[in-house]
Amino acid sequence: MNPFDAAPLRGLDEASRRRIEAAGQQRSPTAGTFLFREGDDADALFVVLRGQVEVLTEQGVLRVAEPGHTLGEESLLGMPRRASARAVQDAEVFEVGAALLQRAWARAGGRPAAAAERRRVERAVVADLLRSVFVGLDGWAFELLLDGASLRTIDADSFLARAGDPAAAAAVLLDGVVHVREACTRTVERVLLPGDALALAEANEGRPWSHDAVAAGPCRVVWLRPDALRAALGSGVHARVGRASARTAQTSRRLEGLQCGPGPAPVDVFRLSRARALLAIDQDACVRCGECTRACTRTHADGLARMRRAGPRLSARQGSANAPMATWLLAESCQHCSNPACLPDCPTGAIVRGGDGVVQIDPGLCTGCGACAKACPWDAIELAPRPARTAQPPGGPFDAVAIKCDLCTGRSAGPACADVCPTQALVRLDPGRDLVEVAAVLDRPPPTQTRPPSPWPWIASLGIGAGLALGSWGASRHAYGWIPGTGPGLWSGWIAAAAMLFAVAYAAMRRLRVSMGRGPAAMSMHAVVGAWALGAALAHSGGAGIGTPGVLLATLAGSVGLGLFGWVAYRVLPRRLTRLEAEVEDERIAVADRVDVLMRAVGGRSDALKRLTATILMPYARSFGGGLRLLVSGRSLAQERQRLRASLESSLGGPRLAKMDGLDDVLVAVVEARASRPRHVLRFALRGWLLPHIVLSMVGVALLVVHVCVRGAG
Amino acid sequence: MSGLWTDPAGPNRRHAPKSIRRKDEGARRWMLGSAMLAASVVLLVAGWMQWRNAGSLHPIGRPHRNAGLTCGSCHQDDEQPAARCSSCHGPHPSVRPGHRQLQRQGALVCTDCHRIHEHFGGVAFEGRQVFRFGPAGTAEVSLDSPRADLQGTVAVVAASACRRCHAPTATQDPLARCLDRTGAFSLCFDEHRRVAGETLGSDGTRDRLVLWALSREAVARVPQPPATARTDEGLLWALVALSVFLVVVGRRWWIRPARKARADAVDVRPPERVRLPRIDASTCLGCSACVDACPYDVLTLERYVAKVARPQDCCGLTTCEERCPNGSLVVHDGAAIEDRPGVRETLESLDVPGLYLAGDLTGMPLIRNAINQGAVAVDSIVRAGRRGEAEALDVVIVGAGPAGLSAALAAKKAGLRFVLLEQGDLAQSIRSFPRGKLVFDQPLSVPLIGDLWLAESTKEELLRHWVRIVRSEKLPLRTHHRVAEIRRDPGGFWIRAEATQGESTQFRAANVVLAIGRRGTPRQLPIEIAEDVQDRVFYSLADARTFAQRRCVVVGLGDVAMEATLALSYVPGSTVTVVARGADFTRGKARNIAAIRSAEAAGRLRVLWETTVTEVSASGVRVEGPEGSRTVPAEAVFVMIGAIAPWAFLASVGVKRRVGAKNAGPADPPAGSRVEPGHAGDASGDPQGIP
Repeated sequence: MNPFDAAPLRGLDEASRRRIEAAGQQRSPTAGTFLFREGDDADALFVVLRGQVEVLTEQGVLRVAEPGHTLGEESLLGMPRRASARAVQDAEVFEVGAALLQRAWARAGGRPAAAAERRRVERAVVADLLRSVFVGLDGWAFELLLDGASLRTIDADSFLARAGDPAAAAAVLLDGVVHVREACTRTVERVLLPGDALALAEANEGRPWSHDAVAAGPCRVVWLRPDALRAALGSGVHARVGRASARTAQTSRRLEGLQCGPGPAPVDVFRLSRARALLAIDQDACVRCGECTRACTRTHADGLARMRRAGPRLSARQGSANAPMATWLLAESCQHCSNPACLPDCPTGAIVRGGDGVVQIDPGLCTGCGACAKACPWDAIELAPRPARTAQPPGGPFDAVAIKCDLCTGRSAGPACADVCPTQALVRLDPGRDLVEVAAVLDRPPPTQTRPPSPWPWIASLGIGAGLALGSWGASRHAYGWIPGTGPGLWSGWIAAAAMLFAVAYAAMRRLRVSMGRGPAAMSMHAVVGAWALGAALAHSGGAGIGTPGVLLATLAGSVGLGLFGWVAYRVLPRRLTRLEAEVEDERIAVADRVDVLMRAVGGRSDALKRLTATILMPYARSFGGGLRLLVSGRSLAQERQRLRASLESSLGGPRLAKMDGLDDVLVAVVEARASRPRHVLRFALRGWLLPHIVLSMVGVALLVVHVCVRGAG
Repeated sequence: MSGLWTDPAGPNRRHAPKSIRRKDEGARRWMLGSAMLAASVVLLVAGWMQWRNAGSLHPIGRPHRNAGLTCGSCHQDDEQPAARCSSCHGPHPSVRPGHRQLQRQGALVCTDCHRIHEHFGGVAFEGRQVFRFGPAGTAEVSLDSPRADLQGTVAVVAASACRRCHAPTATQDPLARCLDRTGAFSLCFDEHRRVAGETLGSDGTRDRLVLWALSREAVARVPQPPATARTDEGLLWALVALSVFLVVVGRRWWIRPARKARADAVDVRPPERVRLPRIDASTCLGCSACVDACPYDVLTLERYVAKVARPQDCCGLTTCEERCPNGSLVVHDGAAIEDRPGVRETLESLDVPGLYLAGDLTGMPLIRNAINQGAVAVDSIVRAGRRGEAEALDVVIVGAGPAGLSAALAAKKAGLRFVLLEQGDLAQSIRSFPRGKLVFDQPLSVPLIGDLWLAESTKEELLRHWVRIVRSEKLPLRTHHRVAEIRRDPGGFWIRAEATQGESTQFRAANVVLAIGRRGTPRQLPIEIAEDVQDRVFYSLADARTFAQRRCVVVGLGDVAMEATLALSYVPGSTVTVVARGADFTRGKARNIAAIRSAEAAGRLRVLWETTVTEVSASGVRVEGPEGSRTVPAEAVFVMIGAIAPWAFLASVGVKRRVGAKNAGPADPPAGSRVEPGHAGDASGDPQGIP
């Protein structure tokens, strides 16, 4: 049967037909195969072309779909599958994205049958939700409540209600995340997850809303009219409302355990609830080398990176409650959401979420319109020029294409970014499953698996020590007859040469070939080999030299010395740097002009604050040794702000300080200014040694070649 | 984070980000360049050291160097370098009994005869090559030797070494046997081994004899070993290093700047005709790229097909066409645009010589064009060569928006004497630039500053840059100076500016650049406002937060007034009352109207319909409405009742507006403009322009 003869696909306009043909897929499941299972994410609608498919749950078969019927209508709402679908006989089905089909229907003038179908599904979904919130309510009372419920979609960052508004209805969250926050200070007090209720008591008693309720991401909310609520629950209404509210209070207590990176921005719980492969970088291990970004560019044919080392930070433990608390940078890269916001907006259905959970953009269907890029709340998708001679969608040459992280599906070792990180700081994780605090807030089972600490650094330190010790001993033997030209002196020379060449070749290969990953093991081996090269060179030359050998020894010593400095820096400095870094790391915003930031914070404020800034805070920011003191003290920026505020309070008095509106912004700017110098120093120490190390190594190899040739000739 | 001008009630439609290079990616290219530079420096140093080694320090000859000897190999603490020789060479006792005895006593050591730091040297045989070497250098010698497979090194000991103990000229001296009759250099070979003819054998002695004979010949040819301290090695290093250095440096200074000279051909002529988008519904994807690109809500999406909803607001930008992925939307030319002042290509006014127009006033959309026009206007002034004489200024720039600021920077760069006048403050100058959202996909090229990248593409960010530029370049900006009159006489222009307190300042200048935009001057209330309450009256809202805990009254109900009202109403503790002359909403964006309605329903603000303001005093605002007269207490009054379009002012200066000769439709509002109070806008058929 031609798909377009089936009732749901009839009567569409030409453009829609073409698009559905391009994006849709025909499937032929054999008898007994499952098309989808209950609980799966639902993006696609199925139309039965031939045979029969039954829809079933644990309770039994709900219905049997004949040719011309649709399956999986929850995809129209973007809700997870409410039942499984299994082919009764060998069947043929046509799978098409629900969003694409809805567009096609709208263009054709709407479809009353489809609208009715959608309403039916909505009612069923809302009924499930209310049953879970108002446990035990049934029969006629429940139907009354259901009649008084309406499902609405709220855009991200929109208000459900503001503090002080009269509570015209109670809200139960179906999907998404809602922040409940204090109106004046905007601090988030509670986070509502699907299944939580809000303002039940206020609606019931006719009081106004006590807090602002903001949708953290696009949400679907079920509004319950108070009269329906009261009528349905009868005399037991208070108890039921009380119970539903208690559940919400529990969730809010767990939120307190989830700190964000130091700063005023609330944790993006919506983002954490949706992410399935979040790119998180452990800031205590990350050495800010940028290898991850470079590996990303080299893995893709167009040479464009799909990630950026910028974003908000989160303090959480990974793996188990015994793991150390780590600060994670949530980088800007597609996190392969469970319910992607980009997917429904694509006009050609180019975005699909595969069975493995990876959200892919098909360049053969992508027209480069940018709707997905605008829909993604975290800027994970970008538009890039389409490379020549690549797949083009039907409809004319398109010069742009949307690109985003694809989890390196073509790469056997997994994502390149995680593979090349020299300290294994970068991981792709599911926050709700792997991070302890996040799992607690999202009501998921706590994680229990930890990453065992790597033994390599200890092994490496031993190896380095041994190599250098042996080398020094060998150098001392030159007083007793060792010479470079023969005997043990010469053998050490050969060992040194071999070690140098091996170290350089190994490092070069790892750098140039992205398919070979990196990690603590590789770095440790490189460090040990380098140290042995130096040791052997010392034993060979006795620690002195003139001419080319002398320069060679100096070069090698310099290179290995820098390498060892880097080794130590990599282990010691990142933790310090993390404490001094700003809350939101964004390489795009050049925070070069500190004076600008400070001016803006102070501009328009009271004279008292301006005077305070000029007399006390600016000297504090500019103080020469201040940065060093901050670094040595080991305080984070937030702690330093608190300390500064406390000292201001003690010297000026609390009431005076409270009158200075905007003092917090000024403190943020001032502490940042103070921290910027030590931050630069630390970053330079982490990155600055590498270039001279590489240069000296390369020069050393060249000199080595010369030295060996010259000696060999003589 | 809501900005000053973000619509609090609207969806956050954004700009699809383009893929740009990450900061991390650039690291490798930079690394390569620096690596080459560093390598060349290191090689230079190495070459110099090599060169030095062969010079004045105690050099050693080729065989010892090749064996990797260092100073420390022989010279240890015991000051007996000769004791080390045998560790490599093995023991070399003398065959002469006298010497042997001296050796046993330790009075004769290796270095007494073999002076390796001095110019004796030796001859080295390496297969086909023969080298005459000394401590300071090596030279190849070509001998007519039939043997080609010799290996070995022969040390040369001159007779002068023996002179320490022997007297070569005395005939009884055993040394005399080693020298020939002329006393010339001779070679002595039987010190360590007897070489009598009969001891030839298979122990290689024959080879040794041949070597000695050949060495004699080599020494005869090259008596003094070469002293070329500057070995080829050192020079080679130095040359390589120098060339690498030059390449790296040269690239930066010569090759790169040549590539950078791109042709910046900017077209600053304003458009002639109205342009409207036309959409092919059969191919339209419904992706909403055009809808999001339009800053004026001209387009909308209906049933997933784009449609032109408000053609009167279209400003002629073709961003929508650029954003459409498959060419379903094309911008077509329509009627001629009618209300622009006439300018030449140099942006000099057609009517008033010496007066230049730049920016939105000429009808050119986009901030980028305004900036270019400002720079072009000042460049034209510089080329025209008219300067102010004596105390007069060279140019007065009116308006500190993008065009005015760009003109000021160009004037500073050209060294002109100028002043920049702005009727409000800097925030207001941007605010009146009538683009709701800035659309940037390339950096702005600003004179003197260079390329300006806007990451967020918001007015806040642009204002941040503006403020910084004015401060860092120390531009002579006079805010709150509204130009009331410009008079021209043969010597130049007289410009009279009124400050807010009523005092006037006169400027004399040779040229004037008008970058006043099309919004004009904010309208004032038709009542007298006492001086002591003047600071309570505002014509624009910069930051709603400063009005926390205040009671505010907003007069007017246009878009600007509505947005200010909404911003104020969400500030904690504020009370907002809106005074509107009409009975209902007459204009403005649907979003704003809906937001005001819902805010009023929520009790966050109050609208007084059919009410006018009769007095502003310290206790508040006296209003007159359908219920009579009363006083609304207020600490701040915002008068946002529109603006007086600048046409009257322009006409007073002498600048006429051109009318399109063909299409002079009387009833339609001129395309591309908004209906504004005070707008004397209907096009007549007069081809000479509207006076």
